Amino acid sequence: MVLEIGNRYILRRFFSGLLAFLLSITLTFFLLRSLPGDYMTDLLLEIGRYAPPELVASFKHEVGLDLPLPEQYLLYLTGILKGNWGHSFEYGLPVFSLIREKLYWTLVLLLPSSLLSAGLGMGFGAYSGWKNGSKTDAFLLHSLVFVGAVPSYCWGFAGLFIFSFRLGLLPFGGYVSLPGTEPAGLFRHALLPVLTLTLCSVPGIYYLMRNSMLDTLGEDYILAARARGFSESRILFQHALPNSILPVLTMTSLHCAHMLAGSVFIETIFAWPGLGLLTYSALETHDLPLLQGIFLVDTLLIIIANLTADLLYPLIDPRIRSRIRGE
Amino acid sequence: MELIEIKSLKVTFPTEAGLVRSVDCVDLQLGAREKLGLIGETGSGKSVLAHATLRLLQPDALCEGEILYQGRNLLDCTPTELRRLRGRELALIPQNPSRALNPLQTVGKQLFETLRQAGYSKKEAVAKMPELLRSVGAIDPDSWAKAYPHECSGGMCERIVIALSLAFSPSLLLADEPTKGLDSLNRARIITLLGEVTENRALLFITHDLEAAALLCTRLALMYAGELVELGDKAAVFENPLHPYTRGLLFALPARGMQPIPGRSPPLTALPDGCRFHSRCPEAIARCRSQHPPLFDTGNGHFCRCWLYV
Amino acid sequence: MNLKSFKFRILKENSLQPVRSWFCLLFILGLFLPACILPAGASVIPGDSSGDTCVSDEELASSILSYMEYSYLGKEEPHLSAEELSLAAHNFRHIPYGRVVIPVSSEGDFITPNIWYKMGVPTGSLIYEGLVTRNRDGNYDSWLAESWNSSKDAKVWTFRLKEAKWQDGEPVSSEDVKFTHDYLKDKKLKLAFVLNSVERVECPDARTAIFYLENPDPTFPDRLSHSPGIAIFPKHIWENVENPASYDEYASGDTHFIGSGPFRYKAAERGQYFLLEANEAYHGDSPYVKEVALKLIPDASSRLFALQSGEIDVLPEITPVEAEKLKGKDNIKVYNIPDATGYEIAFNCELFPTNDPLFRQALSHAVNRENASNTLGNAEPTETVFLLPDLAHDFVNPDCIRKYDYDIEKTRAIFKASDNFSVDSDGKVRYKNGDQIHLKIPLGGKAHMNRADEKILNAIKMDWEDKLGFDVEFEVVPKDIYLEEIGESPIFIDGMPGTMHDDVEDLNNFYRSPAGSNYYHYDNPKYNRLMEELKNTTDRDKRKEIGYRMQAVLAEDVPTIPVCSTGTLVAYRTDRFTGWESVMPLQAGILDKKVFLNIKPVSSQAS
Repeated sequence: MVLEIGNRYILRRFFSGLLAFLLSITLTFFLLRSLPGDYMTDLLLEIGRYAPPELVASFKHEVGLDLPLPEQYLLYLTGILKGNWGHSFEYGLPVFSLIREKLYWTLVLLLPSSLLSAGLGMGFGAYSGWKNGSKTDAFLLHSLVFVGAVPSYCWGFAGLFIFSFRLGLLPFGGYVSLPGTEPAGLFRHALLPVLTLTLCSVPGIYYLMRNSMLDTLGEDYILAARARGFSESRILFQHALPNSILPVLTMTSLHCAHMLAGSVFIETIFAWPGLGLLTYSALETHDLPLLQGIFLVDTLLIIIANLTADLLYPLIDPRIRSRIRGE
Repeated sequence: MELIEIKSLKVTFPTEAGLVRSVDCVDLQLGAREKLGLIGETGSGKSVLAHATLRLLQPDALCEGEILYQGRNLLDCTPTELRRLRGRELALIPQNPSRALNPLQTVGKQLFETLRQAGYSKKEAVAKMPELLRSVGAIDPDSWAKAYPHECSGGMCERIVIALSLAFSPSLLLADEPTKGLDSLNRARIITLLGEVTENRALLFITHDLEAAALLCTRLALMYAGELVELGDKAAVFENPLHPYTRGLLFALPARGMQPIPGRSPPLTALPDGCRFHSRCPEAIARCRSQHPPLFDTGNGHFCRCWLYV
Repeated sequence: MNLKSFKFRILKENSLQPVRSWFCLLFILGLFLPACILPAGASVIPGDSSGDTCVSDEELASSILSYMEYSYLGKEEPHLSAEELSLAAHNFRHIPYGRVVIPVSSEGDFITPNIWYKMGVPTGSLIYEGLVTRNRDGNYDSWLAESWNSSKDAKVWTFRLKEAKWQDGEPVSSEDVKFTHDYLKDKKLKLAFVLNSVERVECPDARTAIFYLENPDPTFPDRLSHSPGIAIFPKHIWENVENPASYDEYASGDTHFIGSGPFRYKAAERGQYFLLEANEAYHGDSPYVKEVALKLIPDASSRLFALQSGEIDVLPEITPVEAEKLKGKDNIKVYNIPDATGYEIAFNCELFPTNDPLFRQALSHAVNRENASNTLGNAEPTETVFLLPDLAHDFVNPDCIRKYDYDIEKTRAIFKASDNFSVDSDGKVRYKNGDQIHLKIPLGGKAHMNRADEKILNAIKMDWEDKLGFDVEFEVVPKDIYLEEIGESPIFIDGMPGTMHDDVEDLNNFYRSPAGSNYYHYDNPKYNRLMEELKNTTDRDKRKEIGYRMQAVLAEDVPTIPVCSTGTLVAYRTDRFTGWESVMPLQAGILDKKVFLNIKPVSSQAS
């Protein structure tokens, strides 16, 4: 199968990914530098009332912010290539290790909730589309519209209020309990945030899947299969499902990549120190190297998600496979 | 006994614009091995008639009347009974053959599945496949089987679709515009092929292509705006077309001057009083505007829905 | 706990020997003074029958007595359970007990570089200490320094250190003080600017550190103690740290967070919690609480839940709205730390029309401070020209208090007398040429916290627009843009910490040095001369007198109109710890060792 895809295709995708990556880091580099305000001024104003200009200048000199932009850019690029992403102003730690640590905790939430929401969203969506017009379909559609309309923040709270505050079943956020208190495992700590994240991303995938299923059911080959007397379940699993999943695939992979950056609310409510919370605090403090690092990782993840979808497509869809062969 | 007998069939669809009367009081009979051409413009209700016969219409479609297959009313059948009839007894050759094949599966796989559905064991199915493909004109059945639908040409797809419908050896084939979109060479080949494969079975040949129908069929039925307007033997219809619409169609043929009928068929949600064709009819009389004509029997099994033949 | 073994333990304690001799006397006294035996209320420290939040030896003895009577003789129920008696003993003997959990809103609050570079002490003073710290009475509390004095010209400051130990057992020496100074400057750490005027530090002996300043600085201890204050760090640990900016202390093994304060590092999970325990070798009184846990809860509403469920014991810096929500909830009390932030309507004295002193004076009468304070919730009106009386005490010139009362008629009178303005029959003020007075006010600076600036503006806008006929327009802008805008806008609303209103030295805010302008673009040669004089004066009374004259100048020129000061609202659980309210921290936050040395557990549930 893989050989059939052709190395050229993989290389091409890879290079277009690389190009997008370079473009994106260049953009973020210049965008971040055009933002008003800087770390030191902010910090000094937080402490007192003045930001002595000589202090700000010496700080800028120290971290190389006083160099001409092209030179800074070159330094930044060579730094990335050498694996040196700089040090966070705020934390003093190497950006890379900081992000790696936070990314780990984000992934602890994200992976299970991505799988769950993709599974549930596609499952419900497929069923709903297949049973279009039925009571189950109407129920699913309306309840998921409701779920999607309520912001994730509220669901997080509702969960916290019911399960942690009222019932006392689950811990109040964080991924560990304080030492000496009743220990709750990572599973119990992660349960609420994962469920909330899942709840909030199921509707999006559901709509996509339902629509895609409806489109597929209107196709002639479904009619033809019926005319041949195939059983309904066979039509669903052999013909309707594989075909309707195709367009949802890219969206789902991107959706998961976006959840990464978009889980700030969930991470805040549940005191889960992941990438979202780090982004938020880095933005607040103008922590330039950290912000650059985070955007770099975000870009990378989205490109990887895209690349994965791109590589999965030819495995599933013979049309794309032959288009590649034709290239 | 007739193989299939359609009695005052009415198919309506509720839409936002109103009730669409796609098929309106159609009566048709088809004997075993008989070949009937159902002719009409797009939207005249001929495809709906075919789908109604197989009960493939969407759930909100309303069917009234009777469709008797070997004396059994298809409209009363349970889904399981229907599934047993579909394919095995009544096979459909759907419109747009390239879209009637699952794009994600090879032709071979789809053929295999269909053969298995037709009751062959795995071994038999594998063995039968090349034979079946050859019977629709494949010279290299193996490469056909390996191909995906998007890799096949229009003619090839048509043949594959025909092969799929032959997998069951049904007693009635409903071919829905099989010659649409084909070049003249392929069209001729498909017509020949259809003629060959239906030697021992009945064929309902749905088309807007009068010449193709003339080549294949013994009887012709013309539909306009949901109703039958003329029904008769091929020769009678060609030599002595009764309905002005039939005459219009014949004059529109390249061989007879290529004069298209002016105007458009009326919308099925708002059918006019009187004859549905009167606004386009060059021979319309006052009565045509106010009174809906019944189907008149003009003798020799030739029927026509026109006030000119009272 | 098993009752017998508990009793045995209490009696075995040697230090309780003298207590035994009191037994007989107390037994009799106890019969006549049943009033001293109070039921243990929820918020009373067990055994503390007098309510002074201390367990005296009498109180402990009477509790033990009642307990023994019960267990030996089977008489009436003791007023303390075994657990509570244990707690009484802990409080009496100063044995740390219980764990107090405090939420922090950002991970940055955990880390040491915060103390090195940012807020310094007293925030973060649980582990680290400075030499001295200022208190709210205008005096100083001693931390690591036992005494200090300056030379007559206030250029040489000598600090005598206490006999203290670092938490790893090393003694604290003057070398550490010198090291801290040198390190801050060598490594160009952010807080080095606090010590800009220090030329060098000398250590004549292990417990004496002498700071030599380039310029006289009579308020040097004030500079060292807050906003931000300088913490002293152990030389033997940090001298090995080449680059403190990228030093990961979590990963540094045994040398984790070594300070000299009352609490020491116990455990931490990065981005989750930071657990401290009482440092029993502390040079002052050791704390009553055994552990302090800082727990990350970034979301405000989650923090409210956590307090109500008992997950945390205290919740500092809540908004007035949140305080209202918590009112009347079981076991929760809210109190106010006054004067945390001062709010003012500030002028740019160089721009038209605020460059006209008459304009500024006139507006001073048109600010309803009472009204503005009410809209803010927990605020007090400020009637002085700049210093807050509760923090600066006798340094506030009494002649300048309530000089500009709220009176629109007076505003109109001043405008009427002016050459540049006219007042029409409706009392509306216009420029002489008849144009309407248009004011554009940017919002979004420090005063924008809890939208205080908007509330203040709304409180005054009515008067300015309806009664004076101004056209007042405001715009909320991001912080960074705000800083640019106030340079070009004649009026802006600002806020700053109370500690910037607590000393005559703070009048420096209006000083125009040869080097540059000030925040208000205010420049009065007379005032500048006074400021220079103040900087060279060490005598307290003389400084006060100069301060009075400076305030008199400000009262005339009005470069700013102080409006009010707000406090910090703190909610705490009354069933866990007591003593929050009896000590006020210097700054807005409660993470001050003063507070944490004062709180005591009130129930054995606190762990």
